[in-house]
Amino acid sequence: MMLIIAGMTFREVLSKKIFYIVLVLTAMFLVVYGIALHFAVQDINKWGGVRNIQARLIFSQLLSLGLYFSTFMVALMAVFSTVGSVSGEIETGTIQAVIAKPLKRSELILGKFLGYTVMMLSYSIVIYLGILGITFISTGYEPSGLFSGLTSFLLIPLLLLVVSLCGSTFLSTMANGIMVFMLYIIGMVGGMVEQIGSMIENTALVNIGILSSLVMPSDALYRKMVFGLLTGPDNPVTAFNPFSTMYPPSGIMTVYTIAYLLIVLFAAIRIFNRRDI
Amino acid sequence: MVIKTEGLTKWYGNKLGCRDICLSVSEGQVFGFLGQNGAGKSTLVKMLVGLIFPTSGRAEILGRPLGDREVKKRIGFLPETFRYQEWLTGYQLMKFHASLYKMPGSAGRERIEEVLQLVRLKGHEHYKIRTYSKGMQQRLGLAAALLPDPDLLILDEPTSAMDPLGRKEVRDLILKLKSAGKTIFLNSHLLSEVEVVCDHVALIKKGRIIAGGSIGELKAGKIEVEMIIGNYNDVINRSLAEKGYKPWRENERVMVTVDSRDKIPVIAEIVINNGGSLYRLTPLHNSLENLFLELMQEGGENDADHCRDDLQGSA
Repeated sequence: MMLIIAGMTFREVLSKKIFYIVLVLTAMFLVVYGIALHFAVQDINKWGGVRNIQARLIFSQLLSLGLYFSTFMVALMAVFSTVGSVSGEIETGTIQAVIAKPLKRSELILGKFLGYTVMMLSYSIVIYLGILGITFISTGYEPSGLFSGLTSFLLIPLLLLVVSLCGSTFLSTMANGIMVFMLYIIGMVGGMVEQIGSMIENTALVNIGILSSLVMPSDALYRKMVFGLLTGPDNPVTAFNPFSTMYPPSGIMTVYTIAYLLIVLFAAIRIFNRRDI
Repeated sequence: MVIKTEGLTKWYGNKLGCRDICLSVSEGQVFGFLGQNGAGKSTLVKMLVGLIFPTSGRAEILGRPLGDREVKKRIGFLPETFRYQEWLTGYQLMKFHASLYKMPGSAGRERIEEVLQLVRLKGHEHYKIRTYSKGMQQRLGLAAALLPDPDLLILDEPTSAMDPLGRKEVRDLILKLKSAGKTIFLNSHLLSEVEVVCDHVALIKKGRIIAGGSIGELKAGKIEVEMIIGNYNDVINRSLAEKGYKPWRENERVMVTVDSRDKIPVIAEIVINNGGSLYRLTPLHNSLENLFLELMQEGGENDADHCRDDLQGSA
């Protein structure tokens, strides 16, 4: 049953024009990034290529810029494709004939989660590999910790889609969109506050940042990914720029995110199980 | 009993959906559930199919409590909204619903062909649902409800978007299913439709059932009398009203409703004794529509318009 709903969810996304528009825009983003990188590399190579420390610093900054906007894109895609996943069907009434079938409500939620997860993970992997691939081809710059970076990167859309799915079980589509987006902004601003706090050694700012990361760990995941990719034994350069990080969250944040994700998914099932339609 | 409810009550916060609904629908019955908009008809149906949860009371469908998955396999449901995934074709929707009923591949395909034929959508099944007219979408919903060859078919306003021909076809289909021994629960505004296909009805008003029984029982004892009266005057009007007959005019005709045949000469006597010239007096077969209007007019607004505290206060 869960797979039937997952398949239907996946097909629904594929049936929407906006999905193809997003794919085209994503391709355009990668092309623009590639072109920008190409022209940047032409100048930077004059300094001695990827072995030059200054060149490495700029390449890593360009990569973090690409990753920052990629994260933003997958986050938006995750939120807007799932924001009306349940509420939209309740509002139009399409869910009525489905709920009356011999299907558990939890199967409906888990099926939708599975469908969106497959879609979002596929999209995110393409973007992640696209950005890193283009950077490597253009600059020869090899980031470290590709796999753990990918794990953090994939957890971001997964986290947002679960929160959005949960919100859609009890909020209207519009209210849910606002809520999830605000949470995402809180996470992002909190992350920046934490960075500034760490830099000037202000505990209050750091605590605000940590608290906001607990409410919405998406930015913490981004910083964890960027730190892993841009530093490490192969890349001793700590590239501080607005899109990078000097103070990464600990590994506990990944565990926390997974626990957060499961709890929110469980909450979505519980809420929907009791909801009048 | 196919459906049995005891004191089924639903509150939406402090707004009443329906209250103390006690119903019994036996096997093979076509049961009509009548009421005005907002009286609580759809609330009951939604509770029966598991869309909403009762606040109190209990109900059984096919001998099992509400929400039982095995029982749901034997229920077909056409919602009042009949909205479906419009980006699918009619056939794809049928396949989706067949898979939700866990109907295996070949049997599912055969049944899909069969139900599409039944609702006259064959030939249209490979078009997207968004291109269907409302009537066609409702037919598609009916086809989806018929997919599992259900023992209980719950139809919420099944012909609301259909043209007269479509309505006739659905009526014929219901009668055909009835002769095949299926139980049908029909929510409808269309009293003539209910009168033709249903053998039992219940009337809901203010969230409560106010009358119920077989159509014959409900109509018995109520006779509508049509009169053509010369020199119809206020005295006749008042005298009829004083005796409790409440006359009303329909063009040149004067209409009254009496409880039994014995009252017909009394009516004639009142007219004649008060100076009226009685040209014609015809006892009419009382329609369900008249009975419905009569019952609904008594009282006033729906309880559903009141809040919980108002009702508890007046109880």
